[in-house]
Amino acid sequence: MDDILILEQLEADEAKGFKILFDKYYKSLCLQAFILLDNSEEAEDVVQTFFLKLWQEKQYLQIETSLKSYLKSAIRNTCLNKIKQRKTYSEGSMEDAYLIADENSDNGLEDKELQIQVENALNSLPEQCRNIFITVTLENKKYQEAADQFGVSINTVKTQLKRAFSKMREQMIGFK
Amino acid sequence: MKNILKENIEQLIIDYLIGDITDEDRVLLERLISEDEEVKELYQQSRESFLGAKAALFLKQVDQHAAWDKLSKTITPSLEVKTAKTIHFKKWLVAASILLPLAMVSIFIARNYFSNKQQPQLTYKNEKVKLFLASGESIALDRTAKNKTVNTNMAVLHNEQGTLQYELKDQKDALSYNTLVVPRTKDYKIKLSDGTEVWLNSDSELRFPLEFNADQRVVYLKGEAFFKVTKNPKKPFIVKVNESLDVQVLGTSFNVNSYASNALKVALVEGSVKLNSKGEESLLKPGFMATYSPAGGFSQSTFDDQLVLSWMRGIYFFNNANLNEINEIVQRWYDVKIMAEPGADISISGAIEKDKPLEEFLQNLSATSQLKYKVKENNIIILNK
Repeated sequence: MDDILILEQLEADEAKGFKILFDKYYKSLCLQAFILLDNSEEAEDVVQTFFLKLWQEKQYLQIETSLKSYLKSAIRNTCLNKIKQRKTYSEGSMEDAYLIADENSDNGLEDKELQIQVENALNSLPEQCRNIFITVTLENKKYQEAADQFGVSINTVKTQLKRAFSKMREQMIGFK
Repeated sequence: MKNILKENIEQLIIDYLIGDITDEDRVLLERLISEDEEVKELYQQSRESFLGAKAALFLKQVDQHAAWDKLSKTITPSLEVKTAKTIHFKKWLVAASILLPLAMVSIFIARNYFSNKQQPQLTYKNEKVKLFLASGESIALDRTAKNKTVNTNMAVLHNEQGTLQYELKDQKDALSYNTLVVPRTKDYKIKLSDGTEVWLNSDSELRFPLEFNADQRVVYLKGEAFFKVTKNPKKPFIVKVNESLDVQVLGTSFNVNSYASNALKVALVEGSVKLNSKGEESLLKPGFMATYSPAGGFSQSTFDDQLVLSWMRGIYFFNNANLNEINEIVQRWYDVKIMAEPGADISISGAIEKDKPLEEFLQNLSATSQLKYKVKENNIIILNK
């Protein structure tokens, strides 16, 4: 549904409009938060808390810009504050995160096709290789942590990751 | 880009993307990226596929419906219930201002619950209890099988309600040893030819003959079992454990636990038991448990049969148990491993029941303590929060 219609719906029937808004934006806002925060749980937390507040404070009734840019900048600011609260962060990684967030926010990383592509690539990997890759990408594990978790040596982790990366590159280049 | 270096450069790029890189290497890689087009291209491809995979993996685990359920249940009934519209807005606002703090509290409580609810389900393997006969036959003993009687070359087996009994067919096979293997997640009971009953815990093995020879009854055990030995003073019953320990009895009931080879435990419920290891002996009285370690020999203590024997009823009690203690049971019963994020503080008290899914135990724990967990690759990971 068009954003303008969503806003109209919100005025006519708040609950219904709010649900439509949620359905349309929840996942993409989660993705935005995840790219910025690099932490899946925090990302969902941020977005859920945001929606909660949005409903409770009826903030959507005062939106002056477009709905989309309102939502995106709200998540972005919340994430920025979160990152600042963290004890350690490097300037570089944050700038990097911003770039990525802006790059990817519109070009459809949520695409089903991309997900299928990634899944195919992952499925073609041997089990241990896949598990190590998933752990490292999603949980930001260091080599030693991953090695401990899987009960293997650091070198095994490195070899497996290299395999996963080259497979991923292969598949994703084909996709582009 | 020199070929010799390509492997190394790939490694540096992965290190960089994962964030496990030394400052020196980082500088080196950044220089290579700015100087060498090929390296730059490799870096960009790697980065894009890494971030793409990361994003796709993340999106896959985002459960929008669960999130909506959580949200709509938490904030207000008006999102769910149509009639809420008739409540006057101002009244609602007043109500909300009262309810909001409550709602916030319940978010935190609900978070545990819902985060568990959207988890992938654990799957449990269904490995069967197996009997390996001396004749080379192997028979799967399925508790739910329709055919309760199995005819083998050596014996007729009756397998009913998790208990195995048998009748010998050919006397020449009588004394050779057969092995009953109980895998993780299962347990089993067998009635031997002399009437002795043996309850086997998960991940355990019993070697036994279909009939005992004239002067003694010898069986071999790995894992844990409870024995109820039929009295026969003329024919001592001997359980050989891990080749290092003999448990000799006349007629009695006792529990042998040999999961840990450096602490073999024999707990005597009634009768009397003589333990023998390489010439060293120990006599056990009812209510006492002997622990044998190859290094330290025998030691005795009283035991709580609630704790030691509860496995037979399919229940274990934990009292401020650490992860290793929990895992010992959970791996045996569910074939699932519990891991913890670094720094997560684990001390668990509670009862775990075998015939219930592991999730139930975990959900009880999350409800009563601050413990949070997630299911991953069919393992449990306790979160550091």
